[in-house]
Amino acid sequence: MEEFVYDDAIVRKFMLATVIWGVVAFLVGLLIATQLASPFHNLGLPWTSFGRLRPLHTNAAIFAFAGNAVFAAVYYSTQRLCKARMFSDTLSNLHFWGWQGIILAAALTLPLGFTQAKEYAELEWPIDIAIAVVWVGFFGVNFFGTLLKRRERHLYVALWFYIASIVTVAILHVFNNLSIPAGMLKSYPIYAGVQDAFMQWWYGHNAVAFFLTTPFLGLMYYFLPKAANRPVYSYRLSIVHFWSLVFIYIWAGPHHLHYTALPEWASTLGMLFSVMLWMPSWGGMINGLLTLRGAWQRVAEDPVLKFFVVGITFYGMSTFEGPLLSIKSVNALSHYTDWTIAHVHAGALGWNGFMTFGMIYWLLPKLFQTELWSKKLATTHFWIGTIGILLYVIPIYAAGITQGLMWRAFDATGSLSYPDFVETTAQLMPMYWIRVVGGTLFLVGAVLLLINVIMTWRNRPEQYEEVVHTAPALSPTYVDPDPPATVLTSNIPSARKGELFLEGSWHRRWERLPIKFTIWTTIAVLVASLFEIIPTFLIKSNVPTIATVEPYTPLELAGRDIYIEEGCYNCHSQMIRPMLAEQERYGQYSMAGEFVYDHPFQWGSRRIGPDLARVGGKYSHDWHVLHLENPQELVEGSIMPKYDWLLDDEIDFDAIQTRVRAMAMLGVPYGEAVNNASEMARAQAEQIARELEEQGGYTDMDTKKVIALVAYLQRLGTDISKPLPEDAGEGGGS
Amino acid sequence: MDQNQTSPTQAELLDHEYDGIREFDNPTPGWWHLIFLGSILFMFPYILVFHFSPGGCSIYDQFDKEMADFYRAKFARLGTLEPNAETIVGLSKNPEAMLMAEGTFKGKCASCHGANGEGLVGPNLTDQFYKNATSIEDLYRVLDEGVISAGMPAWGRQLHPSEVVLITAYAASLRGKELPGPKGPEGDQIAPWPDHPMFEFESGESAQ
Repeated sequence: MEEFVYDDAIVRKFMLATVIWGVVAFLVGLLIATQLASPFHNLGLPWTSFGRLRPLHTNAAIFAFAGNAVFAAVYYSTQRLCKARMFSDTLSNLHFWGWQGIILAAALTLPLGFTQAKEYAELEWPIDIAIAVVWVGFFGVNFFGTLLKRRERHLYVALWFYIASIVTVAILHVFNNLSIPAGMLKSYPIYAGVQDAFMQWWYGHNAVAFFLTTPFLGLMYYFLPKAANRPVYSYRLSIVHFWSLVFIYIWAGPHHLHYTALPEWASTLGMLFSVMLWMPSWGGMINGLLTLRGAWQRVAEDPVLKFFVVGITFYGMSTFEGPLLSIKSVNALSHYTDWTIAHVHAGALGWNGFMTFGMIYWLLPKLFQTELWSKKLATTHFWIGTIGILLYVIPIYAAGITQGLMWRAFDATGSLSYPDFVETTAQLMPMYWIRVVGGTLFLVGAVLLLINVIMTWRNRPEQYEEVVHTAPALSPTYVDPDPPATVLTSNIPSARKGELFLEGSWHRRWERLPIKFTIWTTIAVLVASLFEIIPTFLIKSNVPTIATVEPYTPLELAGRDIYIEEGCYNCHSQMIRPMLAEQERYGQYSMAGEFVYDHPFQWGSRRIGPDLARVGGKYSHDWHVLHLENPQELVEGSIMPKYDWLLDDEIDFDAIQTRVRAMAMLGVPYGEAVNNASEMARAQAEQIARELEEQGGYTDMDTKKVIALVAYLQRLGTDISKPLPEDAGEGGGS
Repeated sequence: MDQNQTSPTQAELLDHEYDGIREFDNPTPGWWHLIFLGSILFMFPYILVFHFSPGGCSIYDQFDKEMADFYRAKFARLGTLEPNAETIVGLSKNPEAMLMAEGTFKGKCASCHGANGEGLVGPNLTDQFYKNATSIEDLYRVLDEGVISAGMPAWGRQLHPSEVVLITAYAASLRGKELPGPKGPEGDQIAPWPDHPMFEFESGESAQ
């Protein structure tokens, strides 16, 4: 017999971090929700404007709140499921402090405008490297090390989900973030346009799958049967839904790019595999809810189970809605609207939020070795939170559908019914205000949790009791027990073998072989990925060349970087879909060949403001500058923040040279600009400033950031309508 | 919820246990298998229809058809509009044509010229003063080719040719409304538009 003690100190740390970052994430969410209802709340500062805070909110919610919750769950349950202390206390602590350091770095760099402009992968390259080190080197090694020194022979289903999460998140993170640095906190991804979009949503969708779904299923499989004190409903359903989920999820990413310039075959694969995901996802819901059979009367009195039941129900709803939204014709209406926002919040607040809260309320008495300070407060949290979610999602579903229908409406004369985009924005205001109320309630609930955590912590014993457990080490000479004999065993041995295969006894054997199990999981994920990635990169016809498309000039590139810094992509798409209403509103639909120099792509995922793919040449320089300085003066009812600092801040002409060189390294044909980008940028800036002066009253703007941004905006979407260049080989000019 | 307390007697409780957690081996529900299988098989007819049907059923096929139908419906009655004074003035007197143009004006022009043409960043279109036109044909040219130095886009590059004529007529029709705008008069007072009879639509199906 060996003696061991579980490390609960590390779980306490992750649990506290979860609650604190949760409050922060919800608070920032509330602030940006208020900004959409009333742009005054952008506060007129660069670092508090919506475009910079929205990534802070999503990163805080996903990586800080949900991330720490996952780590708390993994560290608590893995030790018990393996009958072993974590592999290394040092790694545990490096993991904890490393991760909190990454979050702090994110909280500092995102508001300052350092971003890769890829959703949920905004963090710049040094932080990306830190994430890889902490995730693989500290967390991964620590987790797999624990599996290897375990005293429980077979791996329980929760651990399968943890394995899949750890492996896949590492793969996704590394491949989506491959980029070339162009400064200490600036980089360009190695992919461009269509391929960058594909990689981003392969990553983005699977961040949802392997950061917000599979680890939380693992969490559910451990904490729900513990809290309900009931056996899990079906072991064989666990097997089937685990493998189908892991294999199918990874294909689904392209459903984020329906009707875009992504090749249609990829879009079709994304849709079909998303539809297939419905039942594998529901397998988890069934196993969760039916585990409660015989324990329903306890749900009425136990806030932990209440949170779990509602959490799993939201999981079921979201994973039905996901396949629905992935159907192309539904997506045609929903894409770029608030429908997506409602969908992800049903998942994030309902599933991730409530599973986390349930887990924490269950853990508190165990971690602090005292009773929960107030069960009543926990129940209040449950009700306030539930009402908060409903008040959030219902109006936002309504907003999404309203928006989608208004964008595509035509009147009897064959014109758009709402040709001015802002008319559609105005309709959403009441719904945005209701969301503010819902978000406030959800935040209040989290504060109640924080109070309960602090008060329970205050009642902790002077010294935590460290229970010593005993278990024998695993014998290296283990032989699987013979399967029960049937009539077939003696008569037709080969048929019995087939029967055993179908019954899944091989799986039982895999469950005691963590390395083999991990390899097969990795293969499942990689095979699916490569099936989509390889053709996307290799088939030339996916991106038909357009002869008139040229690289951005150095000044336009600088302007594009400002567009990225300010997070414009959070509200403006640059992708006109081949649909009548879009072509009428925005112009010729976007084509793959237009984006070959777009490192990173800026197609966006949401139209809080209008699409900008062909904004070039539609307004005067004067209009743009005035509009950036004070949008409401030109567009009544606009909810865009003011960007008046762009009229004061100076362009960093010296940095332009470095950035052009980095782009040239990625194969963008920059020609002479590789050596005199700064001069070229100055010349173009002077030209635009002169034109601006002729058009309106702005003078002496030739070194201001706004000029670079205007240069970029005026270029957008114009390449396809200009005459063929005489010398097609020359790059760097427009 | 008490009625839900059926005890799963038929289920087999497996003999393993992890930290006190045990597992039943209930069979997966039949409907689960059926829907899962159905969602997999759905792939084949879908790919066949949307990627390999003889008539073409891809996103772009559908879009081309939609566009063709739309333009047929929208411009069938207008026919091809010639950019001359007769057509433009005639159109500006036709209330139905002006109704058709209004949406485009709101979507493309109002952001600079104001919702009713009273001017904003761009000049007031309701007074008697013009910066870059001395005739109604000039006005058409400004819309079609733009005035780059003034920031006026070349709409000929973005809109259907007949639509540019239609919008010119709409802009011309605003003259004389004398709405007060944020800017004073810009440019010179020019001669009134020539007089032409109202443009009559060719008989035939209605615009919509």
